[in-house]
Amino acid sequence: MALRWIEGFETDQDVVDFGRKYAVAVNSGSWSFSTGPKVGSMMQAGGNADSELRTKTLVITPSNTWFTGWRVRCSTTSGGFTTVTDRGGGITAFRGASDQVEIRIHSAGGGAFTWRVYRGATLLGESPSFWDSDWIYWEFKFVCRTGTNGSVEIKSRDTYHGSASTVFYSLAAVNTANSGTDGADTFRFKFQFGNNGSFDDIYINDDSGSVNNDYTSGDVVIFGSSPNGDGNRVQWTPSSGTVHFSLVNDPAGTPSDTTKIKSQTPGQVDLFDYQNLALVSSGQSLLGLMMGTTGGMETSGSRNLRHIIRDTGGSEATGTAWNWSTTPTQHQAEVFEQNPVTSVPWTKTAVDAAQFGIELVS
Amino acid sequence: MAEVRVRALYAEAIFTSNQSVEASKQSFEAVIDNSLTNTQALTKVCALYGELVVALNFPQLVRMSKQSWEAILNNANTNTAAAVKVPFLSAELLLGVAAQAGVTKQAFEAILDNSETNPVADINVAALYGEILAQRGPAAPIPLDDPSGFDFFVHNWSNVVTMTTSYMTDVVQAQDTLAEERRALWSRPNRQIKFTWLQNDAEWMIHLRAATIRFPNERLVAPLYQHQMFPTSSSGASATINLDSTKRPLFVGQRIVILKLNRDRSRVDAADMRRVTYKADTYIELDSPTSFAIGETDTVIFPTMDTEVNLKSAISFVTETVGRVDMDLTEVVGPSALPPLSIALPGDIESAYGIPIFDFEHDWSEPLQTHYIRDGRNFTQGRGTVIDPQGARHRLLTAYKIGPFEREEFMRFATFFDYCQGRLRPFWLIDQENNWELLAINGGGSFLDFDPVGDFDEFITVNEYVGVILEDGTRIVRHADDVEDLGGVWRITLDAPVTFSVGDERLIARARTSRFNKDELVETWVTDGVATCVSEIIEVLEEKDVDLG
Repeated sequence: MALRWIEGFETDQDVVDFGRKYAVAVNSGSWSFSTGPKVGSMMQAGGNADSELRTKTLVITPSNTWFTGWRVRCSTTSGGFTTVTDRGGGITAFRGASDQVEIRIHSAGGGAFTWRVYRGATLLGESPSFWDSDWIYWEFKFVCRTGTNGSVEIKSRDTYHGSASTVFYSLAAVNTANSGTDGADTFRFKFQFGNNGSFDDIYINDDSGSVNNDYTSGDVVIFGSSPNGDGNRVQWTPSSGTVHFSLVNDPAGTPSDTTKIKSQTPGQVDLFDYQNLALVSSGQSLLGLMMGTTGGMETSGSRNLRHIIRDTGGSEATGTAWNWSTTPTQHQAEVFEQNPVTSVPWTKTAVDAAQFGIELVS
Repeated sequence: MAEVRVRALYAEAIFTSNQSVEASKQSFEAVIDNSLTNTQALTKVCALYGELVVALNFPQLVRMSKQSWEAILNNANTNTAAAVKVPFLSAELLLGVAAQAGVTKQAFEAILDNSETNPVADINVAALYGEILAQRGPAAPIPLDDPSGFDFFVHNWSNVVTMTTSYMTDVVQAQDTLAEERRALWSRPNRQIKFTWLQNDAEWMIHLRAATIRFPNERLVAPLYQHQMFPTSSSGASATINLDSTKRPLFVGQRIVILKLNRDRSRVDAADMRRVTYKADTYIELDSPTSFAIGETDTVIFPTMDTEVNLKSAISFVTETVGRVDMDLTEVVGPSALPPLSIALPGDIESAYGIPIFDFEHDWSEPLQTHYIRDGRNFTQGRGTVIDPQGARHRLLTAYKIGPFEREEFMRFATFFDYCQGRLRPFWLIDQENNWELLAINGGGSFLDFDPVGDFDEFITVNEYVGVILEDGTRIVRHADDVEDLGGVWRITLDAPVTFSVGDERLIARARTSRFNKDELVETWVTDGVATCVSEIIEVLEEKDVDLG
């Protein structure tokens, strides 16, 4: 597997949800969510404060090479940088708790922006300027290595600077491992891009596996989907009523922990129909899908759970089991690059027809 | 009070279940064993254990007691301090088996390729302002309903096909500096197509008349004849057609028309209208199979666009049995309109200082006329005339004749045009004057030394950038930090060094930030593979964003 994380601000838009989904979720700049430039929603963050999302550990063994992308529109004015000219938002690769290398937005004045590359406090390089306030799909390649083995590369799309195949800026033969050890396993996105920065469609790949192990096409969009019907089996116990799906399809931005489904019986499964992917051509393939389940132990104790996916033919496959042993509500994310039932890339047709759910394993 | 009631329930459970009684007894033995080894701690554990058991409901109590028993015995035998922990763990195990997990929310996010080949359909109209909409680019069109019973004809290539692609851009200029801000007003361009139908067969003349009469009455469909495609393999009726889909306006969602021609390709025997559901470079997929077999030699596929009611249509009868229709059709505005060719630059166009460098050559079969125009106002004062010039200086206005180019190169230009539109985006234009002779490159590439002929003063005062076109076509733009007369040479000091050598250059001249003067492109297709156009370009003195409200 190489697709490690996606975030489209579609299904989660509240700091409570983000706090469960991410290792660090800070809303210091009055972030808000509104209709995005392509589909669904986007995040907007204002002010000089450093709102950020920092992923949980994405891989057990840190990888050296990573690819990330996000759709960004810088501030429509040059404001917001006046007090933190050189401390804007950006992406930082971490190895454990140690930052390795950071690509940071920088206000060059007059409405122009650059990307600056830092290792710790050391400025490694700075990209050419771009002064557009249009949406840009940026992609970043991090090779987090010590000595002169590291590199950073930036690509852009929908800018003055060329298509996705054109490298906007690159920095080679540099030390990009501030911790002194190769590799990264966590990424932090900081959203300080001036008074009105906008963000959408984040992905993170590493270079492992046979798919999603490089840049994407240069422009991706992320859809969100929530349960909209009970599926083939609903064996868990609803917190109220008899309908299950409506207890777990909290709207983005409105987490509701009082409505839930519960189970203490190993083997019990709840499957749900999900909203279809609108606006997508039927033959279109998906690069991947990331499921998220929010919950926890009702009382002290420990349970093993896993995601379960049922295709239109009735065959089922499960994800990797995880353990919950504490009562605070938490979030479990799992990436399915391919349809686990058929082991082929997801298509819109397959996603629309599939049911997704949860199984109490033991 | 609640705790009291629960304990009572526990007692009931014990008396009504043999297994419960056994479990209680086993638990009791464990307490004795452990108390021998660790009295204080284990006393507490027992109490805890008891409480935990009480907290469980009856069926689980039976099962859990047995599990806890095994753990207690094992640890008692080891007779270590760990035994203290084990009963506690046992108690946790009891809870664990009975414990409920709860799920409060589940959702997924899916990531899709949104590249121009198969973009996500774009019907998100919440962001209805020009800058965003203009860059939506390859949004899928939503065609109108298929016109029933409509006859298609092939274009007569004795005439050209003309396609006009128009945008509407709001340009705000500062009077003092001519600084510009430009905003797109249309999300998609509006197109106009002109083509010719000619028929000389009595039966098909009747069809031609019937079709022509429909144009003043209905919104119909116009094939984009200049972008015709032929199957690259034959097959039976199919929803997949192998063809070259590149370098033409073909979009997912778009309606295409597939024509089955007679043997001499002069007449259409059958026509299918289908929508493209998937597009790859070498094939397309349709919403339903064709109604006839697809042949490499007798099938032709056209992208189409929906056209407005044409208030006037005419047939020119060349003879009593030969008729010609010259169509001039305008695209229907709205979701059915075709999007721009691209939101991105062609990948091989170079950039400097954040904007692309125009790299299309003028067709020297005609002179390149360069105008130097000054914006200003003309007042009449009595018998005199007062001119109020605006902006810091004049601007260059020129008109490049592009092509005739073959499809690949022309569509590269058309893509560049579409990229620049919506905001009349600026680009670098390197003057086509080839009068500077480079003598040396010094200062590690930062000094360009020229033969001191002519007059450099104008460059110093008028232009701050120098452009270089190398023999291999590479284009370079640098800021001129300084221009000096060193006696033997004139030296331009660049802000960043260049790496080429003297002799590599084909042309060195001024570079100017420029934009297209008109937000309209008129393509003249001489054949289905060769096109030409004229492109007016005007210099931009200053770019400036203006905050609205």
